[in-house]
Amino acid sequence: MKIENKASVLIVDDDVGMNETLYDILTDLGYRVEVAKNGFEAMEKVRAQAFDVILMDIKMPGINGVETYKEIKRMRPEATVIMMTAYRQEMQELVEEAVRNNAYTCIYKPFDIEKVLRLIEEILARKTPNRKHKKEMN
Amino acid sequence: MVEDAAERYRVLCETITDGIVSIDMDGRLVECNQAFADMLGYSREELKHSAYRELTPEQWRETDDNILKEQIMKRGYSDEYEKEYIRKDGNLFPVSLRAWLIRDEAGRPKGMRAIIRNITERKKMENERGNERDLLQALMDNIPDAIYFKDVNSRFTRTNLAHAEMIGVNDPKAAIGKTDLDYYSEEFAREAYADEKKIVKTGTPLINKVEKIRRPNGYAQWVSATKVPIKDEEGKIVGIVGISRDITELKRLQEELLKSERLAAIGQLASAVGHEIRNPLGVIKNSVYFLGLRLKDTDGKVTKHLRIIEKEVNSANLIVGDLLDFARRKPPVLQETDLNEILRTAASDSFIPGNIKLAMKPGEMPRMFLDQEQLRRVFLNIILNAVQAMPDGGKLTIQTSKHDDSVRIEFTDTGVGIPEENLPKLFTPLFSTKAKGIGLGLTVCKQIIEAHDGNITVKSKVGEGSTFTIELPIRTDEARERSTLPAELPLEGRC
Repeated sequence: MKIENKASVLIVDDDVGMNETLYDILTDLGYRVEVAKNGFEAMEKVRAQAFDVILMDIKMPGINGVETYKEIKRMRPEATVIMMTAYRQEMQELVEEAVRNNAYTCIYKPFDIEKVLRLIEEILARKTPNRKHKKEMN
Repeated sequence: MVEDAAERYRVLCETITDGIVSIDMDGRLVECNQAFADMLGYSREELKHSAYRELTPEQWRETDDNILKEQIMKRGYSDEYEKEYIRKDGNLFPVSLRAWLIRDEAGRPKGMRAIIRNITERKKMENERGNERDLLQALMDNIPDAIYFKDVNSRFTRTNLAHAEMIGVNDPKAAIGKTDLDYYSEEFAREAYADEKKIVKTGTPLINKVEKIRRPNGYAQWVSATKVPIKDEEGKIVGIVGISRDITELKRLQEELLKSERLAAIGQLASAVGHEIRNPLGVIKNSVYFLGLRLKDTDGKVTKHLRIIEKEVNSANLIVGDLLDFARRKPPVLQETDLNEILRTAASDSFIPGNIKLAMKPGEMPRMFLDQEQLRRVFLNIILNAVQAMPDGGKLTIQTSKHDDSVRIEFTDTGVGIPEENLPKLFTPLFSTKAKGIGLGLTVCKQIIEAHDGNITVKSKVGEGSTFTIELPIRTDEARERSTLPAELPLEGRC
């Protein structure tokens, strides 16, 4: 999987292990990756720059992933967000709320990273069918 | 002196509350006292010279005649006997009387005299007592609680049908004169005897003592026993009356409640631990992937070990999944579903090694309302079990068929089979014969199938293989009542 255009990904998770492993994998694969440990940090990052894909954990201290997602959507309506959670049943309502608000999808931990990579590719392909993904972004 | 005696007799006659009447040999009333006249509602004048026989209702006249003939004429007096009179107002009332013959100076029968007591009040009391006795009998015969009366030495004096059934005899009278020792264990009988001695001695009743008794049929029975002293008119304790209520069912429900509360606590713990494990499992998987990206292995061993880690993480995750399913027990979310399609998905999502042949034999299925995700879990679980039962390969056949009002899904493997002694335990929580696994997989399957009002059964023979059969009722109505959920749903709606 070779990314020519260095697409940007933001990882938002309070789990340091998750952040570090996703960061290492994605940067190794050529993505430009930023990490936020909570919702507020994520909003700061999104205010500063647009990301092609955002991976957002739902259950976080302070402001949860879905509320963060909604704030981000207000700032950047074009943002594409994949929600993540280990709580398939318990977070169902929040997941549904996120999906109603056009979150791309929700993946459940522990996930196969290859599946996540395919999703990222899919999003990039949709955004830039001819691989010029910067076109849609400001 | 003679006058004196006659005067005294007259005073006696007029003051006595019993009736006194004299009759001649023609049956004419010669004289009577005021008490007799009052009893009948006539004046003494009216009664004088009236026909005595007319005062007696038809049905008693034969009794009168017999007594006259057999007793009075033969020996000069009658026994005390009971009969009725007709009052002037036509009402009948009961009396008790004794009559004797009067002779003239020559010794010839001249007439009869009788003393009559109005026994209306006594009869009324007797009737009331009789009614009470009947009511008591009806109560005793029909109440489901065992009732018994005992004397001060704890011998049965009266028992009811329920008690007879409890001690295993057909007739309540069979127990009379016997003691608990004749019917119960010595230990139990001694304790009951001690309780009863104390009641007799102190007069303090024993209320709702919970006792475990062993029925003659071998089953244990829980009863709530109440024993109270019976006192005579002077307040002396002459025995006890006891009531034993069967509370076996109540006890069972209590125990089930305790069990389900315990399961709820385990469930909460399982849920919390399960999630906390899922997060690190996710991180481990990512790390393994990253190492795979970076390590350029030369002899393949590093890659092999990375695979091992990944495989182990996946099986840990499956166990966590079972644990969470068990802890959660969500009611099914019913959607119109193609059962064969869920089976196909489950089979393709399962890892089936090359040495196992999979034969899908889908029959024609009606559209059904089922929880797809829950059923997928059930099918995955059973397929996984089948695969694990065939370590040296074999064949797994999955067949669906439609019957009158149900569909059947059969999973037949040619694996090692399940020993007969394990079959009854197969669906109980925490039973497992696997080196890995905590024994919740099939428990969860059963919960899910039962929440769909279906059932799951297994047939197996060691060395030949096993068949798991799931039967689901065909329902076309999505909005069916969900009140038929299993009773144990302690965790529903909890995070």
